[in-house]
Amino acid sequence: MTAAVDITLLANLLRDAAQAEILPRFRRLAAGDIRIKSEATDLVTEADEQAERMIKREVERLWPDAVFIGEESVAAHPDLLGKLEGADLAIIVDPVDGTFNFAAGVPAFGVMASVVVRGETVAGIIFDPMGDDWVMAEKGSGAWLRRPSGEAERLKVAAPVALEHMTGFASTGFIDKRKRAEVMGNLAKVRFASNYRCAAHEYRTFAGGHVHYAMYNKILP
Amino acid sequence: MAINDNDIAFLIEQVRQAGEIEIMPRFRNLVDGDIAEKTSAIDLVTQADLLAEERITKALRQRFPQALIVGEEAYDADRSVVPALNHAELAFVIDPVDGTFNFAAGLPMFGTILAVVANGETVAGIIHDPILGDTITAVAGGGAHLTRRNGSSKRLKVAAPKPISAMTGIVAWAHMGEPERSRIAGNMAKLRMSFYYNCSAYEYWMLACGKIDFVSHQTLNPWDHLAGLLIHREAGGYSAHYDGSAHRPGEMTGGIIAAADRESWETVRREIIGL
Repeated sequence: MTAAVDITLLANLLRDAAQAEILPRFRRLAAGDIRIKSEATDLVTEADEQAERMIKREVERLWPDAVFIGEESVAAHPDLLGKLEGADLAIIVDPVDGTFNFAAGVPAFGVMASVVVRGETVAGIIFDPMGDDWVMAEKGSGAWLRRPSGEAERLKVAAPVALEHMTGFASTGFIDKRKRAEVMGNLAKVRFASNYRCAAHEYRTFAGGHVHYAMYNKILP
Repeated sequence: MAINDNDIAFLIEQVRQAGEIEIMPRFRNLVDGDIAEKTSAIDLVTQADLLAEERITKALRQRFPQALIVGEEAYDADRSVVPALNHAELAFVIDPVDGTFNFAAGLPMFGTILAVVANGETVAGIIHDPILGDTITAVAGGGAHLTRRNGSSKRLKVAAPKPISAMTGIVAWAHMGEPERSRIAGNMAKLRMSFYYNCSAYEYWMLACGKIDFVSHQTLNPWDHLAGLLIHREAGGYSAHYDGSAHRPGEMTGGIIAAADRESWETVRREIIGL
């Protein structure tokens, strides 16, 4: 069923959406272009909405049988997420991952898509609009950094090291308030804990072998 | 010695050229031999750092032959250049690639920082984003501005003061020893949000643009902080050492908190730094 989705087509679609709807808005958002979702740090912008609209339209044209699950579509219809488990084919999209950064003018954001077949993730793509390249994987075929020129480089995670030597990413903002101080205090045990507020770039950096761990509490698909 | 508008335009142009010629062609293009560890696996130097600093230094020496030039790499060769900042008539402080860990890891969060110091005062600061070619700048007494590559410019203002539970802030606790490290890491849970980008250029960028509420560091490498602290002050913010005294360019110890105003500074000092 993987063959149902040519991931090169999906990868190019993410790039097209970034160029048409995301990059032209970076550092150019007016106050009315940014809105708060669940709380002051959970934002949505015109770029998220327009990019998702474009990707959704093309996904529906290219793969009419796929269930389309986008971050902004789910925000409008939370029951959409329930369709993921039972679907023969689903395409999950985050049009701008790292919206807080995007809205703050910080260039760490990405466009992500995954392909899920009957409850199993079979492909994942992360596009970086700043570097104009993708990291992507199809289940069983390794992880690759690909550039529009056709260049490709296989990715490998870092070798394991002891806790006190680990560098990595820890997102603690969604941990229950009482537990949070304990976890944050424990983080002092690692060599370094960063948090870029952008899973796209964190997974990209992790897959490239530049850090040793990535830790999240809230796991939206 | 005063620095005029033509000088500032010259400095911005040098930083921009270093980004285009020495930094961006090497982004995601480094080979193993291009990256070296300095003090640890997260303290790196790349060919981009070395060649960008060399290029900017050379241009500064031609135009300002008498000036003291302090770069991260120059400091490694001669440590007396930092205390000399408190007395030099004119000095330039360069961080060619701030956020070297990010740069080497392919993360698009790094910047070029340049500060101008005259008679012990920071008089101008430039933070440049080489990816998009945008720049934030300040000249003492003239406000802080974001100038896009296309020339459009807007004035910057820090965020409005708010209670600790509503603040978003950054403390570089990973660079601290115990007991501060565990105490501060735990205290960060009092905030609405905290994160860490390994890049002081973007910390000050967000602070001056009003996107975050405070930044605190214990060790004060002048190339990481002088430009950002001036830009923050010119955007309306308040900063001081942990003991409340004013920071001078040649001081590397004493810690710093940069916040929206004096009251916010005191709140962060008490609730987060725990002093």
